[in-house]
Amino acid sequence: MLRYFRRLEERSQELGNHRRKHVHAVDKHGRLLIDRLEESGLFDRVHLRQPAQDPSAEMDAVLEAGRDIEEKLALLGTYYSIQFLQMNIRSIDLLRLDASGARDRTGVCRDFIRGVGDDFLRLIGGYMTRVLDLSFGDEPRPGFVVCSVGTRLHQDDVDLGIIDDGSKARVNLNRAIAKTAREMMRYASVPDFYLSEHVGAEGYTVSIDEYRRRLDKKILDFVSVTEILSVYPLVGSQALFDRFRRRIIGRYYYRPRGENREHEGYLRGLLGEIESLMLWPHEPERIHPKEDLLRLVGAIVSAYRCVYRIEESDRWEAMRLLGKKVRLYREELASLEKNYTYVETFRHLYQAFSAQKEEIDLVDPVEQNTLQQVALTMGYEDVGVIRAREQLLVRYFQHVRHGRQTVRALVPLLSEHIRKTSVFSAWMRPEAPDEAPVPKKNLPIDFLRHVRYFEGIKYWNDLLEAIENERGDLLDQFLSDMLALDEPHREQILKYYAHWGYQTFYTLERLMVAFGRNTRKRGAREVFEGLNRAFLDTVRGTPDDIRRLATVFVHYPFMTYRYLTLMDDRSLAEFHSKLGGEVWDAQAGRWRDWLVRLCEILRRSSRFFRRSIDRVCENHPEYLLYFGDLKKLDRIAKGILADLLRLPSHELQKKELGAYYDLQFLRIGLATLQGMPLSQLDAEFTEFADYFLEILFDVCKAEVDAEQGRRLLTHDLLALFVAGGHARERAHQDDYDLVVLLNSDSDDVHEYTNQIITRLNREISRRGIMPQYHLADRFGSFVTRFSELENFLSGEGKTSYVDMSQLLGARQIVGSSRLEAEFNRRIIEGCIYENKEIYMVSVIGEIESRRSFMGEQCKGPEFDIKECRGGLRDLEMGMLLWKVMYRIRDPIGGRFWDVLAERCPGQRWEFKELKESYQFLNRLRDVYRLSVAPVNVLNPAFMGRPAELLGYRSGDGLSAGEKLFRDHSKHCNRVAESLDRLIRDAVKFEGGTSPPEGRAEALDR
Amino acid sequence: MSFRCEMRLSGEGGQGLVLAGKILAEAAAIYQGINATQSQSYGPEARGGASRSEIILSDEDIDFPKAVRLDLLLALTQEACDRYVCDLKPTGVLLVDSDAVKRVPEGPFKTYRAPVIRGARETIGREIVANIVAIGIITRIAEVIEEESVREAILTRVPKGTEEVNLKAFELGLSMADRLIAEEAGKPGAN
Repeated sequence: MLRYFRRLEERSQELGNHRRKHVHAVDKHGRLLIDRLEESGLFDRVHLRQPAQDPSAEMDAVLEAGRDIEEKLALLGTYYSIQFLQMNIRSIDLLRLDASGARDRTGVCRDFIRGVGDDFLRLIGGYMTRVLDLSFGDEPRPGFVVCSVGTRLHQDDVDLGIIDDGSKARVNLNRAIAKTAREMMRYASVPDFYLSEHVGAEGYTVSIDEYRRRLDKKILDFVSVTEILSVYPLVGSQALFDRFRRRIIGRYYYRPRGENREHEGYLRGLLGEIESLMLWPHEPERIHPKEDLLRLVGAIVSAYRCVYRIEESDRWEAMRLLGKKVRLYREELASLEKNYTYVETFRHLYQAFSAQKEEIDLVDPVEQNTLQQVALTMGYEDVGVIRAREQLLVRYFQHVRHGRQTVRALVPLLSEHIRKTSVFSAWMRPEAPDEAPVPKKNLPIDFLRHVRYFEGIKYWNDLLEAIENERGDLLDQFLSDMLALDEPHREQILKYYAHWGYQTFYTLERLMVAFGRNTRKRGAREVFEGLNRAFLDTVRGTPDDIRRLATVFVHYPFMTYRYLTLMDDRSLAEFHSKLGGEVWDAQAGRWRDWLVRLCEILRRSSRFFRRSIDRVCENHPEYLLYFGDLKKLDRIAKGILADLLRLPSHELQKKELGAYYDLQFLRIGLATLQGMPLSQLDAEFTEFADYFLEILFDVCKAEVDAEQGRRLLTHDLLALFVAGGHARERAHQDDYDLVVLLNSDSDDVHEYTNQIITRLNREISRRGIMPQYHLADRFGSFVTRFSELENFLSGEGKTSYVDMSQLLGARQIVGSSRLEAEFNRRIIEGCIYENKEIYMVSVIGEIESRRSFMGEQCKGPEFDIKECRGGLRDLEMGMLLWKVMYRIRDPIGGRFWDVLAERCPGQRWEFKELKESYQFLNRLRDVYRLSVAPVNVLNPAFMGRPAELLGYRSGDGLSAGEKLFRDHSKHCNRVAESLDRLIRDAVKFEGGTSPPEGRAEALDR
Repeated sequence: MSFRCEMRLSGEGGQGLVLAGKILAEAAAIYQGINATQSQSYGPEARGGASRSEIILSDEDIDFPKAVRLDLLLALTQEACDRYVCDLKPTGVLLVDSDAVKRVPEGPFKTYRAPVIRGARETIGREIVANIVAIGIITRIAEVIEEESVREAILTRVPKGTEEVNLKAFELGLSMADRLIAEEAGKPGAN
């Protein structure tokens, strides 16, 4: 027989290390067990070589064989260990047999897993009954029932709920339970008494009255309630169990005409749990069957059981009954049962082969071996290079994904049920005209009174929706009631709210956003700030705080973004600082980094730039997560562009083209804040802005063609030019200077092209960019004819150097090269170069007069980076002057300085310096626009953010902003001095600048 | 005279504290015949975030498995330390992770600071065995459960294939404890 124990030990080697405890028991007492059974003639009544059919009866025989209590307990424990090993080995052998070649793997799994659960319950129930009996001895016994709670499959520890009748003899029961627990720890599964602990009992047991008193005060947390709902009597009085079921469990089932407070609290708890599990960070290289699916299924089934009053606590049976009762979701419930069965089997086998642990590391070779063992047991085989475990994991993920989708689909019924039956439903329902208003004392306080009962609950979506409902009056009432409180009281109440919301950051953030965004409502801002202050005081920045904040962000990015943008700079900095601590979970760490990046960007960005974030992310909140991956944003933008022509309507094409522009605009802004080199920024901005215009023109033209039922070829007739900053290929332009020229005098073509440009204009405006048509102001139409422009420039009308400058700097976007050549010949050469002296005099005069005017204006600390002495306008004017002087066709911009350096080698160092200044000033302007405001007049007091972004650090008695301001002044002085000298030299070289007689008056400055 | 020892292991979810508690309880109960109970954080509080595991060892029956006057508190996070230190007996022992717990509370109890998590990461190469390192330190400092019993219990609880690395972690904990005890003995006023 001992040989057989050795075989059992060997056979159990394939089980996890938890077998060692049982092997230890057999080693220690196996010999004695055989001896005693043989001595007492009971050997034949006990199965030691195979699983017992009736373990309880055999346990009685074992007890009979023992001589004293200690020996009886040791022998009983040893018998339990033998049966435990037998049971597990046999069930796995059977599964292997049934699963090999089985068509219905789920069916095989179901039989296996339910069989294991039943066998285990029978074994542990029989063992406990006898140990408890021995532990009581002759002491008087109270009425009691020991129940198994939770899953019946978990063999590692047994969750027990013990109910007694409250009589004096419960002292003896507690003592007996203590002894039983000790024995179970040695030989069987570790007992857990969470339920008693959680109800606040002084011992291992709780009476029904104690349960009742506890539940009247406050709802139990949903996990404990789920345990209560799953109780199954193992040992003791069935009558007491039935009373418990009626008086305690019954509280959680829905009563159509009764009090449903506990029911509601429990459902809210479960929905909060479901939301949390759906959002939980998942490590890509790990799986966790319990969190992946099993808890979700447990929660949804328990919730449905309560709504539909299904008393059956076995989960499979409950799902079957629900399928019958809830016809609407019959298919969903059936498929969920399959997913549940598969994942539960997977988990059970993994734990049987490895250890009683939940998380599985997929890249760990040891774990991979265990998974292979699970896979082979479930009937998978290696196929070529595809390992059985890989097939298993594929199926696992399919079941998890499908199961989660199904759970998601089952939630709305519960939400609706809560909405209808809630103690708050009277608050949320719009009052009927003839209905008396629901008496509400002070809403914020009233709510707190109610939620005191619902402590720990996370699901408040129904109330949040009612508060957000613009047609409802709940928000108004909440705010006005809050304002009605005196300040210290209000502060106290807001602290309570922060404390309440600390359990559910999502709810609190959403509530704060509901307040903060309704700035027109009286008190909204005040309440937001007060609540946010209290919230920030509550959040300590612990790893758990960080993980939860990051999790809310990843799943509700736009809400979090809204919340962050509602904060003032100081609060945002405080929030940001709370994210700096340690995080345990690598995935949560990544999510935290994304949130930190967003905070950094928001702390550096102007309202102008935030508007561009709003525009993009309101429709695509997920982009907020990619702010650190600009290449990804670029790929998405290019994808949008590529998809454009597949769209069925011009309207949709324009919409998506706008989305492309907005996303690229945002991306370049982010790149600027992250320090992308200016030349690259300008090039990338120009590329997408040009694309946008080109394609928009084509779409607008196609739309006009479709409407008019004709198609005019305009390639050689119509030219669209950009002027100003866009023409200079500068990033971050918030307006478009457009010049549209038509090389035709036909009124029909003029009307046709004007319609195209009208549409183009409308679409550009929708992006928040104002198109400017300098020539259109003169000629009364978006489209200007070549002939009109020629006449105007040749002196028949009043010409301004501004018109000339625009044309000189213009860059063609739409139109043929023939047309471009025509433009150069007739307009640039024929009208401007021919009159270059006039133009040059005007430019020089303009520089002088602007400097004198700006000198008068600039008395304060602020400075205009564009118009000041040595500013960007001076540089632009200088470039135009040289362009005319040397008849250079290259567009003015960063590269123009290189052209000049090449053309005038004697001054190349000065042009190099001017180029540097040009880049510095443009960079400063860009960064100021994105981080402070989209203005040209910069305030030294706000130079801190741009300075930080440009890499300045405080030191030498100066702040970073002051250093930046100092450098700005240096550059402007250098530009002014260099330009003056270079222009003077150039003009001398040209031989004077007097304009021809009579022409000067024609210049309209 | 009867003996009773209450310990609480506290920190974050994912640090393996529940497993550590089970190992200590089983080492005492199965291999030394000491009465032991173990309980753990439960309900919503156990959903990530804070985690605690309690062990009570006694030579008498244990009426209720809830630790209320701690002889030993292990804190692997600042939050856990701040939260539970008030339950420590004046004669108790506070063991903290020296990297995670920067503000160590003052009190009449004895305090040990050890880089438990870093030790697991840097010496063993796996942060996940920090719980076993902690068990090693506790075994040596508390001197309630024999090392061999703890080794056996570790082998019973850890996944197959990870026995060696877990035993190494245990040895690391024992040697860390030796250093801590030596440092403590070298302090002025130490006996």
